Amino acid sequence: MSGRPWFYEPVVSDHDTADEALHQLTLCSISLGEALALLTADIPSVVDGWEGMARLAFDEQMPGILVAGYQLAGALLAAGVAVSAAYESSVLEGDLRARLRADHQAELAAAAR
Amino acid sequence: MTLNASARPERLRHLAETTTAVAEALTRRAGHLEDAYDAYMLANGPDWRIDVSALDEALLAWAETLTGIGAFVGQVGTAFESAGGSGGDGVVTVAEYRMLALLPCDARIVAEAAWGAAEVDWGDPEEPPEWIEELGTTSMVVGHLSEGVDAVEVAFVVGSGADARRSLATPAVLGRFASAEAMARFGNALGWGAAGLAGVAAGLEQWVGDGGTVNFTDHELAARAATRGVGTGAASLAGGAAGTIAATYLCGPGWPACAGVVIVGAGAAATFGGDRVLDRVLDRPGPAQHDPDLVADHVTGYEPGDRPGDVADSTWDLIEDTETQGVAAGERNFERRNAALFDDDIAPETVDALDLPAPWVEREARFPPGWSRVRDLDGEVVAL
Repeated sequence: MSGRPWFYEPVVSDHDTADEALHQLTLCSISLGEALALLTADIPSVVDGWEGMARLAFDEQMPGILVAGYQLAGALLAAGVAVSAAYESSVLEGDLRARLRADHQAELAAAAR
Repeated sequence: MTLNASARPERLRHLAETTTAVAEALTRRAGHLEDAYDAYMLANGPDWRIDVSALDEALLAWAETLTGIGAFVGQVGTAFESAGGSGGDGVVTVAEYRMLALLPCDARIVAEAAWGAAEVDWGDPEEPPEWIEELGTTSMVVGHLSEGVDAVEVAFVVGSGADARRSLATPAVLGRFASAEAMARFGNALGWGAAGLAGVAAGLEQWVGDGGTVNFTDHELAARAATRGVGTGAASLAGGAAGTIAATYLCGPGWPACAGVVIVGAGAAATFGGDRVLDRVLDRPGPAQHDPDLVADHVTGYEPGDRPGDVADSTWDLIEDTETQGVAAGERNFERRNAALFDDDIAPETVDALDLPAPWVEREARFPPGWSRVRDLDGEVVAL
């Protein structure tokens, strides 16, 4: 096999930026949740006494918008989990490669003796 | 036949303002996410990062959609106002065609396209929690009890202080009290208790009622609750004292019915008057009405540069929970990906394919460092 083995390839990851991305994704999800809670609480008062075609148009569209909002809030949290998972995986991979490198160098040293 | 349409235009406009504020906040939030994501992409290698670039765009798109429906609702509100119409309790009723004619073209097309769609049951507007109502009822009962004792005192006790004594008409039930003085003290304590309870109940109701409206800062919430509580308590005390004085002069001993009517009447008048004054001082926003700036701040939440101490505990809890789930998922991913490397007996194909060093293959990896069993390449344990 030519060249250095694969475990000499560095694992490029950064805790601070991964952590900040996780924070921002979670905070976005919280913001969206707050917005949805506010709208959900307001809508019954807003539609109270509202009748006619404009109301029907509102009723036709708003539930879908709210559902999409809840799904997006869930997706943002899931993305936060994924960012954290990718970082954790990178840390473990970095440790693994370091151990493999150490063993490889021990093997080379033994062969040289 | 002319079809009518109705609405509370003010509430429709409130929703439009709220959606605008919410969209503004989410746009700000999406900007922070984009900045963080850009830095994340630069600092993490392609194999060790997740592409979530679509999410800030999705958030912006959702905010834009919300702005769109908010604008539509606002336009409908304006059309109802412009169409005039009549109705009580803020509800405006007009001929449907008149309202539609006043809508901008694109909004009218949207409304007309909904013909035949089903109306959604959005539920009832939120009411204050039941326990607050129960507290209010309790304070009212104690208040009436206090008024009753005051009335009995006026009717059956003559004199005051150390000279107080029961009148000839004193009923036997008052024998429970060791003296007329004791009864007066009991009446006073009950009066203060009723006033305190009424104040606490009113203050709490104000606090809870204001809290969900997103119209007041924390300081304003506290100030309004304190004003309502102290004001209501003071009105209760003043009503009780005024009623007792009035009944003493107007009725005197031996006229329990008169004393009761005067004292209860004075209490009710003081409570009613106090409430009206406090309602004027503490004007309450209408249903679905919010301060747009506070809505924007509330929805935006914690921003870069804010003190970490300002972050709510519930926010930290969610961040930690997300991180914990991520760590567990990352560990599972790592173990699954590298399972072949940690087998007790690593397959020769794996050794070749991954170019594994001999010391790694010889060591049974699942044992912690220092406790490794060493195997030869045939898989036999040769040392402990």
